[in-house]
Amino acid sequence: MKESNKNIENSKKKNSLGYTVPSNYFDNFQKRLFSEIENKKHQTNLGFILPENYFEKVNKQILNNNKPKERKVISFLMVNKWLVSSVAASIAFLFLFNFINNSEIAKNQNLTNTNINLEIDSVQMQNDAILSSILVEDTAVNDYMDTYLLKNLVIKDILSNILSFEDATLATLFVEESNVADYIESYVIEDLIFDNIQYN
Amino acid sequence: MYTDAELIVAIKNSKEKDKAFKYLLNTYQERLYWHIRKLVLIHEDADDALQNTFLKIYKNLHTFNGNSSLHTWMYRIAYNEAINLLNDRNKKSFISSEETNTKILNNLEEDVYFDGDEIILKLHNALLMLPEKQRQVFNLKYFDELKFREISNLLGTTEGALKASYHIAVKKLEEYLITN
Repeated sequence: MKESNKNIENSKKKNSLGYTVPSNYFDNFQKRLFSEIENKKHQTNLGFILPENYFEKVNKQILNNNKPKERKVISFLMVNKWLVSSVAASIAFLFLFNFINNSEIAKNQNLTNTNINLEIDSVQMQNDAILSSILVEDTAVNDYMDTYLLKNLVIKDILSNILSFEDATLATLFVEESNVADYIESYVIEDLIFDNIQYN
Repeated sequence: MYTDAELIVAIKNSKEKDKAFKYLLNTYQERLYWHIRKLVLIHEDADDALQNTFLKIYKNLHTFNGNSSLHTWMYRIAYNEAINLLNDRNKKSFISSEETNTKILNNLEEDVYFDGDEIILKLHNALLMLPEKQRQVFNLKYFDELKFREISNLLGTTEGALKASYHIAVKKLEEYLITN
């Protein structure tokens, strides 16, 4: 009976003055009021203040942090498209890779064969001194001869005390060509070949 | 609007869990914030600890067995988060608890969310001198105006022990504030 009277009273007020309040207004009002009292108490007693609308912001933040992450729904057609294009791309890539790889292998094979041949040749050349001597260039022979002659002839003469160092050096300049040719035949070619073998 | 018992049932129901958590958050976030803030003093730290607290509450809601009240259970999580935050700071900076207190006070003075005067700073200094347990009891009794029976439920300590702790804490604070 009392409750119905109260409702009538409220509706009278509402009708006569036209005032309405949002739903749960008084619940929220009470909460807000206590919240303000609480904040003021902490500010006055302990000097704590809060950023503006802190509790509203942190509330949203916490709810967002705890929200389970939504899973994306991918349709079968979409999966199919991705699958087909991925498979096609993979096959094309494999084919291309295989082709490049084969040609690389072929190239490498040729190179390897050439290297092996060269290596065999050089081993054979080293073992065959006469064959090596044929391949020695003329300029190398001339250079070798000059130094060899100077070294051997001059030192030989000095050691046998026939000539002084200066004279011996001069003497080499006037050695007759026929003598040089004889000398080469007997010693130089032989030494040249053996030196050449040692250097290789 | 849930009662504690309804809330526990709702929390264990996967369909209602989020709604119940939202209610829990709206109801308790301010109380827990102030609990934490009184322990760590700096707003940024309190904010971190509060968010971690609710993260843990959300993750562990299904394990809540109802042996204590929901508020007690959440309060303990909040308390542990605040203390862990302080302990982590001490460990990282390799400083003693006294040095930590000095550092906290310096940070508090510089905190933009603190506007206390010299007397309030002195009070914080005095509170930081108290052992953790006594400070906790003093905060709950003096600032939160809880009854010893409520604090006993919250901390799982006898009312007699709490009264003794509070008495000693008040004496120490008095002495510090008079001599300093």
